[in-house]
Amino acid sequence: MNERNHSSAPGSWVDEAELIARVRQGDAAAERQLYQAHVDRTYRLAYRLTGDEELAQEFTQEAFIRAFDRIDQFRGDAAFGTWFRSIATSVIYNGLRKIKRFRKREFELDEASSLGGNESVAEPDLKEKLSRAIEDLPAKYRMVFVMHDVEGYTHEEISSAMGTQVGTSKAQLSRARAKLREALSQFAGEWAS
Amino acid sequence: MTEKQFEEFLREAVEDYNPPPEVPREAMWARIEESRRVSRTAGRVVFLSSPWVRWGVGVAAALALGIGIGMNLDRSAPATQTVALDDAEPGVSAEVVDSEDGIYQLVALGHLSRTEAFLSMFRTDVRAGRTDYQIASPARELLTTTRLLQGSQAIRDRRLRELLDELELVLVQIAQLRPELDGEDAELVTQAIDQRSVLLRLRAAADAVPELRGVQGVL
Repeated sequence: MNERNHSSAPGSWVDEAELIARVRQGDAAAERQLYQAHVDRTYRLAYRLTGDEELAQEFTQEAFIRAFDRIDQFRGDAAFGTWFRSIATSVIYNGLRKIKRFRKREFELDEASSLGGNESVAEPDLKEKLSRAIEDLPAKYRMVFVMHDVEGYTHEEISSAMGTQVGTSKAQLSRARAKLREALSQFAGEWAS
Repeated sequence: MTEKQFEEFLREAVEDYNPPPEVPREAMWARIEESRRVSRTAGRVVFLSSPWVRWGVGVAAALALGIGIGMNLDRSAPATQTVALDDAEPGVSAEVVDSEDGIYQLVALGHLSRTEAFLSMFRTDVRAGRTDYQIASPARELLTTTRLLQGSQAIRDRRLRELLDELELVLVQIAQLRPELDGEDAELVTQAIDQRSVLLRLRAAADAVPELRGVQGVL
């Protein structure tokens, strides 16, 4: 697909520049077409990163609202998808950081209230261990790992969305994988060797 | 296990990591469209960078009208607000605004409607990890209008009084948010909004009077 000039609405090719011009004039139908072209990928990424339907919806909505509000700032140097992806990534990334802080505080409260309990906790299976390890990754590593290894984004797409160099994206992915390997090795010796 | 083998293992294992459900396109679009509609309406009136600044302008207008109503609630004065309200919303029935009670009800419900939209935007912002501290200004102005309505002699409905008391508490907290306090305080306010079902109660109040449905954003 030529992302530079076109946006893929389901079942049709629509000239992106014309769509953007219509959005600038406040055309709701044009906004809807841009939404249709980009919503699935945005929602999928938000859901993969949050694991929560309500949050994924809020992040997705916020990304589109922010993009439409700022459409005058889109200069057309790159494809709309590239520009929009950077907005969506920023919304999700900042949201995740807030949630992580909030959940950490909740977890600490739960831990404090359960001190002295004798409940035995079942050993989590491999998938659960992996999920926990991914969630424990630093936010940037987690973004890059999920975008690349889970959702199949290229390093070029990730670097433009995160405002970094391709090399940075590759290095962060490598570090994320190394951290996952290390985290899993704590549960099962075979991963360490 | 080699690096390459581990990468292959990861690729297979992460396929099940938070598998997304079907994309709720229509539900999300409905909310985006509503937000855009409000944004376009506000944009036609005044072009300011922050949506919260636009809120401030709108709330200031509501406040001015609120003061007018407060003055009008002096029982010795004739009810003369009909013209202003007719100017604001031609669709509102004349009977509603003919009496002082009706005027109070109109202003109160318009205020509740605006406050509901304000708190919804605030909640969405906080959940999206974006707290614009310019919200303190419209929050303070909504708070002033809330207090005007609380102090009015025309308040008769117990549930409305309780709801205004609840709003006062929430708006005080939002008005006190400061950048240096980080977003955790904003999170606590949204939790309070959820726990007390404030938005649900506001929506129920706004729907209570059929003549006033659709008044949101007028004031």
